[in-house]
Order: sequence, then structure tokens, then C-alpha cells
Amino acid sequence: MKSWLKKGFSLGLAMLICSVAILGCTNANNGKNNDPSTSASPAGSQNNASGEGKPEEVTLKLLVAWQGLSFLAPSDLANNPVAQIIKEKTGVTLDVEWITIPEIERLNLLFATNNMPDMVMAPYWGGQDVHTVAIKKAAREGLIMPLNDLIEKYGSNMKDAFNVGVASDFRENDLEDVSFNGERYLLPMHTPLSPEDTTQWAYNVFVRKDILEALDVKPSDIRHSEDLYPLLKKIKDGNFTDTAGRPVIPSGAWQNGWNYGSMLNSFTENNFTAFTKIDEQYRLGIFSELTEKRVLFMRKLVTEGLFDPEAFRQNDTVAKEKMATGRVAMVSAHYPHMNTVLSQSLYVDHPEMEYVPVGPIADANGENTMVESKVLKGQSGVPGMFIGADSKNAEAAMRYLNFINSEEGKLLVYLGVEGEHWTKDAAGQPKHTEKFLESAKSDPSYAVNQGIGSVYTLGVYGLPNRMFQAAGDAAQVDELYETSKEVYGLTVVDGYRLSYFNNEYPEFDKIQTLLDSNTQRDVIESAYFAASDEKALQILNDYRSQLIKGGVQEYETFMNEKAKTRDDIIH
Amino acid sequence: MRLKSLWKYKYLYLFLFPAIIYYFIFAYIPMYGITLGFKEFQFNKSIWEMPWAGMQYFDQFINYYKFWDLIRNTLFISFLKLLFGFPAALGLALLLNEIRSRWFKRMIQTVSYLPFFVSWVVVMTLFSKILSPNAGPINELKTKWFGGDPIFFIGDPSWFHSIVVLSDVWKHVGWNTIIFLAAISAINPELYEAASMDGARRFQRMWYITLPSIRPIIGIMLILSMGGLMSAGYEQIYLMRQPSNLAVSEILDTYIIHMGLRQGYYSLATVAGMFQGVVSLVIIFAANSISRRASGVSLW
Repeated sequence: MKSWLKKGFSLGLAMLICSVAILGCTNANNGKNNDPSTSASPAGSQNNASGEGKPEEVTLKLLVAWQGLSFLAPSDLANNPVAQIIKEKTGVTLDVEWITIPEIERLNLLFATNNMPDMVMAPYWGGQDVHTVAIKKAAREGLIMPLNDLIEKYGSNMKDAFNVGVASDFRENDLEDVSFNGERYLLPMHTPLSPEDTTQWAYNVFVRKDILEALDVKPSDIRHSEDLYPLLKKIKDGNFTDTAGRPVIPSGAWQNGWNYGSMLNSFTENNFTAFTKIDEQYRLGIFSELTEKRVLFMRKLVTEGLFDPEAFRQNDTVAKEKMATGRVAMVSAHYPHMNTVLSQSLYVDHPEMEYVPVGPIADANGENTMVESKVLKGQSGVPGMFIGADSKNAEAAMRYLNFINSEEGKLLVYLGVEGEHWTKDAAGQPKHTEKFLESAKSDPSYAVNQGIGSVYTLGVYGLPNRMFQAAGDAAQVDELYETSKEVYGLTVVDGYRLSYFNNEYPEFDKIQTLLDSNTQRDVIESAYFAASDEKALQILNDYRSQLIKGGVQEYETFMNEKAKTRDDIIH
Repeated sequence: MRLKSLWKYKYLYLFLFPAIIYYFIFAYIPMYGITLGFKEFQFNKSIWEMPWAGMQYFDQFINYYKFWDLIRNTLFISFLKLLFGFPAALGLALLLNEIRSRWFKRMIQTVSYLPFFVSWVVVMTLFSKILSPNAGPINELKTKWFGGDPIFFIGDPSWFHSIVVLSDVWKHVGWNTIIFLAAISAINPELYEAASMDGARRFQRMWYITLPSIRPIIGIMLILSMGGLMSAGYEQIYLMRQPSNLAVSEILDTYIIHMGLRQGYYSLATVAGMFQGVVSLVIIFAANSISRRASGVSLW
């Protein structure tokens, strides 16, 4: 009897284990929709219950495929004042996913698994940029929702999104790529309202003001990348410290090396494509002497301890940790990022450690300083927003985007609730209320937690410069920002970029793999750490040989021939 | 006869069933995915529906200018891990076996197992912080006591392999003792008693009884480890990958991740993965054959 019991128990246990193993492999909800955007929002019932006129309540899942933007997250995404008005006007509540891995990895994962949220915000820099290539492929293969009809029906404020502030060749070849057959899939964002507004990003090299003052160096003394070297040496020898009393790192970067390239401006021609002109022929920039100069200069900084060796691959958290204590004396970025992150951290207790732009730093041609930097007529690439092809909430997504792109919506997401956060002055200009300014001063996260200048600004196009002053007094001029824009400068040019002939080169897929920007970056950055200048150049030359072996010279010949077919070519 | 034997041990075989299902679902069914290496990847089609691409990705992979660097780095790192990791686990198991206090033995086992359950992301973040040139404690001590500039340990190729092996041994040594401890516990205690009566001291008992008794397990574990030589562990190396150490840190695993997830060249990444698998299979066959002839120990 006991033996039977034992056997029965063993058999039962074994079957239980098998069942668990098998059931564990099946979908727990038996095919029911697990999408929080639909499960969290009983759209139909709520709509019926709440009566007519009220928009259908929907929770939209938004993936922000952009590292380092999580500081735009309000602490209460659903109930902050801006979110409540958006919900009232559009019925939409956002459910946001932020990323901490490179954007391209997240996009590839997203497309390969076809696990698409309702909306995705991602970089779309145009041409052969890896993000653009991936998004275009996904669009062609039906993973992204076409927008023409949606804009026509629900996007009255979005109709100009493809015309305002985007370069004509970018629109022709990327936003309205011929392979899209007349459709459009990606909404450009954060584009400038006018050519002058292009300066709103104000990319610069920034240095801690107290250090510059202690060294008696004027920001305008820096006119060439080479001028940075003695300054960095002085910083290193100057025993400067961060807020915790630790020695400063002379120079560094934000996440993933962003944007140390500005420090090397004098070793670039600020071209619009990967091409340069050597002996009147278009050649890939990697073959130019300037690339060698750039590598050797950067190698000097790295080997002499003047640039943070960790900075090239550090993640967002580590970068912000360093910046929040003023640990890095010199860093490059755009002004809005510097200001938004540091005004919530470093500047709170240490306003004397404010970062000021230095320069303008001349580019390789000497004539074009950053003040006169070349800017395409409209942006040559954009952050963009697209909607998943299977999204059941496409209409709600357009309703949301259309609202935040209305005048009312832009004021709401950038300045807050009228009457509470801002009022209009006698001239009709918006001005933050005293209460808001006091709260923002005592709590650096106040504005973002109220929903102002936060995640809701993603998705807005055609912005005047003033909109970038999210958490300040809109009527009061931010002098540092104005200086940063002035240093950044502006020269508007128009034309057709040579790289857009890539699509016509029959073997471009092969060339694309060879010229892959990540591989190129790995090669160049590994040369910074070479044991000698000769070895650094050897690393570069090995890669060049590989390119030549792979057929790059034939590609260059093709591009030179193509360049002759138009008279508005820019490179 | 065999059927009879199967029926006799039916409950034991039943317990094996979940493992068979697991491997069928997660190891055998996905094998059809290797055909991706011969296809043009498309997001919206199943692998069967994708157009054929012939051998172009094999050609591209073999002709990659760092192909031999990938192979060399992968084999070298795996070999180092095996060289230090395998004896470390065996040694720790032997030492644990000699501990008489049950409480102390359990505590050491628990402490040494714990790192296994910590993810590589956490482990490498910890190592990065400790070894950071910017206020990392090791560099703080180094500059305080010996002066000079801080060292970027993780990025420095001359320190890279030491950190790889050290972190790998720290993470896995405890866990890897389990199988050796299980084998040791199966040794007949009478052998130890007889040896004691013959005057054998503890080290002699370990050398002449414990080690020979678990020799087949050591052999099998070594053969199985050989199969992993072509894979040096992508998580650990990927997290340690810096521009400064690319000459030694570019391995097959990171290449696969880079080409697949980063660049979206899934077919090329599949080819590299397939290459890794095939070579591993060849190595394991060779190791098994050599071991069978040399010591009589083999997997089959």
C-alpha cells in the first residue's frame, strides 16, 4: 500500500513538473491583448459613460529611443498639471519607456521582435546614419504606420511639419524617400521655425567659469582647437577640485562620448557629408590628412591625461554623476542640455561653477569660425516620431501630436498652465508668474515635475528660440544662452548633398557595411590610445587598406561622376 | 530488454522529460534560425520567406580584416579562463572537502556561490567603479602611496586579461565547485579510513584517494569546457569593451552582438554564430577523442 502511495506521489510530482515546464512556455493570457495601452484604458466604456464631446481616454505607450533624456520625466506622469490638461483636451495619458542602451540597439531590437509601442521617438539624422537606415527599412517592410491619411484627417497642425525647418535634400531623400512611394512615416521634431532659430541648440565647448577666471583666460581667447591644449594643461596643473574636493578632470564628455567632436573643430571642415575635396576630387574624409591631425591631437590629450579616457563609452548615469559635481572642467554639448541638467544639480548650490562657452573655435579652413559656421537651410537630420503599424491608438496619437503642436499646446508644454505658471504681459508676451519662478528657484525639478519643458515637448516641431527656455522667465533674456547662440553662429547655405547619390550606387550595401559609422568610430578612437603616433597612424592605415580592398575607390569614382550631373552639389 | 529497462526506470525517465522538452524548445527548434545566414534579413518576413542570399555573408565574415584577431582574442581569453578558472574551482572543492566544521563549510560555500547570482552588469559596474581612474579606490590608493597618474585599468590592454580572469574566477569559482563536491561526496569513506590506518596524512589522502576518484568527472568537465573555447562570454567582455582595449577585447561574441543588435546585420551575425558553433563542435569531438585515447575518460 505504502509502495503504491509512493509511486502515485512520484508520478503526480513528475507530471506536475512537466506541466509547469510546458505551461511556462505558453502565453499566460491565452492570446488576450496584453497591450497596456488598451488594457489600461477601457476606451469605449469610458467614452460612453462620460458622455458626448469628451475625447476617448487612451494610454499611449511612448518609447523614447534616446539616451540621456530621462531627466525629462515628471515624477507623476499621469497627474501633473500639464498632463491633466493634455488628457482633458485629447484624452491621452502617456506611458513612457526610457532607454539606457544605444539608440540603434533599441531600435533594432524593436523592429526584429516587432514589439512596437504606439509611438517611438528616435534619431533620424538622414543619409547613411544607422538609425535612419533602420527606420527606413522598417517603414518599407510595413512595421511603421503611414502618416499621409492620418495627418489629413487628424493633423491639421502637422501639415507643415515636413516643410518647416528641414533641409530640402533631407526632405526629398529621407522624409519622402522615393522608396516610400509617396508616403511619409516619420514626423520631424524640434525643427527650427526660421533659419535663425537653427542656433537654438547652441553647440559649444563649455568650460567652468570659476576655472577660467582663476586662470585669467577669457572665453574669446580660444580661437583654435590647439588653444585648448595649453588651457587643459593649466587646468590639470591648477589643482582645481569639484564640489566634493576631488581633482577635476581637465576635459571629458557626456554619455557615450557626446560631444567631444566640438573640441576638434579646427581639424574638421564642417562638411555636410562624409566627403572632402582632395585635389579637386571628392574623397571620403577618412582618407584626408585632417583625420590624421584630429587623431594625433586627441591622442595627445588622452595620453597626457587631459581627456577622460572613460568618457568615450560611459553611460548616461556615470556622465551625469561627474557633471553634477563639476568634476569635468571642459565639456562640449548643446546649451539646452547643459542648462537643463546642471540647473537641477550643480548650479543649485554652486552657481559659480556655471559652464560658459569658449570660442568661437575656427574650423580647418580658418575662415569659417563657429560664428560663421555653415548651417543647411533647415535641419539636415531630426529627432523624429513614428507610430507602430499595429497600434490601435494611431488616431489618439495624432490627436495628441496635433494638440501639442497647436499654439496653445506649445505654450502649455513649454511654459505650463496659463494663469498658474505664466500670464501674458502688456505686450501680449508670455511671462512666468512670480510663484512659478520662486518654486523653480527653490526646487530645480519643479518645472519638469509640473510637466513643463518635459517629455511632452518631444513631438513638437517648428520651434522659435524662446521655446527652448523651458524653465526660466520667458520674458527675461538668458544671457548665457544668447552668448552660446552667438558663439555657435550661423551661415545658411542650400544645396544637394553628395551623399544622396549613395542610393544609386549598385553595391552600396557592401560599402555601407565597410563604412559603418560605429566601426569607423571604434577605429579612430582606438587610435587615440595607441602607444605612439606611428602606431596610431598604422591603425588608421590598416582600416584605410581594408576600405580600398573592399571597393571604396570605385565608389568614390562613381560619386565624382554623379557630382558632375548637378550644379548645386554640396559636400 | 532495453524497453524493459526503460519501463523499470520509468519514473526516473519521467523526471528527465522536462529537460528534454526544454532543450527541444529552446535549443533544437531555434536551430532552424541558422538558415538566416543564407538569407537576406527582412523585418516583416519569417526566415523561410526571406530571399536567399547565397554565401555572401560567409564571404564577408571570412574576409573581415580583423577576422584572425577575433579568433585569436576569443581563444586566448577562453584559454586563460580555463587555465585559471578550472583549477581554482577544483582546488576550492578539495579545500572545502577538508573543512571539518559543517557551519564554517556551509558559510564558505554560500559566500562563494553568491557572486554567481549577481549579473555581469552589476559585477562590471562594481569593477569599473573600484578600478576607475576617476576617484576609484584602487587608483586613489595607488596615487597616494606610489604617486604618478591614475591607471585606466579596464581600458589598458596590459591589465585587461588580468581583470577578465579575476572577475570571472570571482563570479564562477563557487558555483563551479558544486559538481566536484558532488563527485567527492560519492567517494567510499572506507577508502579514507583504510588510508588513515595505513598512516596516510590529509594531503596524501587528497592526492591518492580524492583526486583519482574524481578523475572521470574532472575529465568530463574539462572536455565540456573545451566546447566553450570559442565563446569567451559576451556580457563580461562587452561591458569591458573600450576603444583603448579593442585590440584585445574584440572577440567573436562581441562581433556578433555588434553586427546583429548594433548594426542590424542579422545574417552576418548569424554566420559568425554558426562559425562559432561548428568550430566548438569540432573542438569538443577532438578533445573527447584525445581524452578517450589518453586516459579512457570520454563523454561517449
